[in-house]
Amino acid sequence: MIPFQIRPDEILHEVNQFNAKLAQGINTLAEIGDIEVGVSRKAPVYQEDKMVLYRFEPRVKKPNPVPLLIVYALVNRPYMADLQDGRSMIQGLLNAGLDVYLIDWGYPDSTDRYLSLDDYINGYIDRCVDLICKEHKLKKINILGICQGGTFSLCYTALHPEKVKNLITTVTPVDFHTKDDLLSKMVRNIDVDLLVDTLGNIPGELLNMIYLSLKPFRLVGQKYMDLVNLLDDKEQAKNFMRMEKWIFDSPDQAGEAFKEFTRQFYQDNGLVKGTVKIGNQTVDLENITVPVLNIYAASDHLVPPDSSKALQGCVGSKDYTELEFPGGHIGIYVSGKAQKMIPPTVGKWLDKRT
Amino acid sequence: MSNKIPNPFWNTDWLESQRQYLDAWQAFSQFMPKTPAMVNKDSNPLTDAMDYWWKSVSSSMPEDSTGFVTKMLEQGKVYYILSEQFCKLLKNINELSKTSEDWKAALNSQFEEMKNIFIQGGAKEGVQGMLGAWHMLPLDTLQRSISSATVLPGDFLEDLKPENLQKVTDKFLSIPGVGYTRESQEQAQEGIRLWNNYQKVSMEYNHAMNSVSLKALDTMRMKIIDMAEHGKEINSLREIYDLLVDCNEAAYAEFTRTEVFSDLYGRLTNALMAVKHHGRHIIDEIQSALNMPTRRGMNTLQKRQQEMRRENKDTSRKIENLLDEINTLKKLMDGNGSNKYRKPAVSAPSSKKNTVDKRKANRKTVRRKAAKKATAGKKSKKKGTKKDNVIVIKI
Repeated sequence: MIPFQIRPDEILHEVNQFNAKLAQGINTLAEIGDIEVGVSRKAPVYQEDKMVLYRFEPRVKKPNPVPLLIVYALVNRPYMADLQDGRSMIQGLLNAGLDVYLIDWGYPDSTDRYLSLDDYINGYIDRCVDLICKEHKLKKINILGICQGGTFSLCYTALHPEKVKNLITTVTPVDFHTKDDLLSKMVRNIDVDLLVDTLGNIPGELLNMIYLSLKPFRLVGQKYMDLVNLLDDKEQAKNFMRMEKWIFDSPDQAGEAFKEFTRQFYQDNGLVKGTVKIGNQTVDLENITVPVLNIYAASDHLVPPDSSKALQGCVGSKDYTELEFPGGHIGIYVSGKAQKMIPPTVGKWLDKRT
Repeated sequence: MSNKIPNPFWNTDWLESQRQYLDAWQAFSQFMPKTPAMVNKDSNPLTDAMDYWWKSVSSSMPEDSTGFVTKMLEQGKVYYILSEQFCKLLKNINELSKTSEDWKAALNSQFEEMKNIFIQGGAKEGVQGMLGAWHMLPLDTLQRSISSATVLPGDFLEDLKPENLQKVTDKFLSIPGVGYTRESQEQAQEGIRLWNNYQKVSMEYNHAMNSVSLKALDTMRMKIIDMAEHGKEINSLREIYDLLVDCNEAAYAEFTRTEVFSDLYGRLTNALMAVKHHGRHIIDEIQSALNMPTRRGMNTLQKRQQEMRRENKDTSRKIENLLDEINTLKKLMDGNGSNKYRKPAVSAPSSKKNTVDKRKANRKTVRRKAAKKATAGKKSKKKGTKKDNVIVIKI
């Protein structure tokens, strides 16, 4: 028996319903107003070029005496970690009694074309760490890296182990040549010198579309079909729009740093081989002897779990913990499940080691 | 199995139903003028209706939302095209097979027909409408993202296919440059050579993506047969859409994990960049001739500027460290002596002069006494040593 059990009039009815929902949805969208992002109170404590270091207002009377610096990726914007009330990793970390700082890289323009990884890691990050240490009269602080920011945190800790007390990496690529890493396959044979020489900074739009092309049928098509069913609920529509805003809010990438990252990490897989050079120093993950908490997402399509889990075999730390989150690359920060799981775990893990 | 008929299309004219639906839709919007798309016989009436409707409401939408809504509408159109394609398919199956037993053969035949459309490259409006926007994404992205980098827009190259121009370009490229414009002739030839290469790779890429679509259709056909064998039903258009998405995603993922894809994507990007880079070089030459700033010159400036920023920051840091060291030394010095002798002078500036005078007087007295005692006996010398130490510290 043919499995299609649907008559033309039923199809037309379905199309009609789809149109009705779409029309209703347009009304919802027209009334939705501004999409606000970022929920936790924060203040800038240091600014250099386009980079801003923020300190969040602690939510407990006596926070952990060792502050936590969050190093975000160069791609997309850091408000994803503090998206909205109840969907904010930072809110959770503050509730867990942590004193949280965050690096916001801003939007590089053509004057930042020659910013290198050395400028980012040994420059901006190091100066932020020094400033926090000075402010709190400490020699070491805790660092939490997000995605590419996690890779930067690993490099920083390997190069400046004396300034890091504990290291947390979240959905962080370490082995860039795992078999299911599509992003790596896409850039493996690109002449990155020619690319950067031609484009200068790499447009954020180009990166967005590359991410979409990892799962084009779902991310460019099916997702919007699902949205039509959400549009009769204003709050759900607003949540969707908030994520949409974040996904397409993508700064350009400083050409030089992009070139170095693509070549050394994606093409040469230098982090696991120990060949990555930041400035004049070689990054050896064996130098990381501080406690490490490595959190990865089981269904991550951008950073495959195997890529993150490779860290265990590379670091010199004897206190290494792994945590698998049952979700995707973004869900680890914004899903309801993540709010219950990730920040409390980080808080307890740090409390034990402070 | 449901209690429905073996083939629900057995006595229904899909296109007629669709036209009726459109008429009903139009009854609500008679005041709107007809667009050319509305009277096009080959176009999909549902997508036309959507365009028609969107034109009437888009002006009332907030500007921020229009781009976003456009994406939804695009997907809505995909949905409509999908509905049309599958309804046609099911109607054809019905025409081919009046009995339920040989529907599989009819299904295979219909899927083969759809595949042929891809193979012949004529799937612009129909089946490719369901997939084209997706599988063209990586290529389209590259083209659009870099179109602003040269004088040629990203899609300028799209319609100039090598098979049409190969003979012309081959002849042109075989002529050596002569005369005082030799250099510019060679540059133009190089540009055409690069563009030709890009077109070849671009076609290779499109061919590979077509193969992905064919594979997806095969997978879908097999899944439908499998569903029938396991007594599963498809009861909505959305289920067909989801099945199509799953099959395409699976076929795409399988291909993109291969080294062939990695190599092809790399060559495609590099070929396109080479064209754009060459274009930029020519623009630089023109700007240089007009004594205008060039990209090459700007790069040098930006590089030097970044080096200076780096040096400035390094110098600032060194100065800061030195100041810290000076402050530490000052504190150390204060800590060693002032508790006993200097603290009052610092904490009470008004008494400073008196204190210093007293110290000077003390020093003179002590020196005098020390000189006397230096010539005195061992016992008195011992007493003097204590005071000598104090003097040393103070100096």
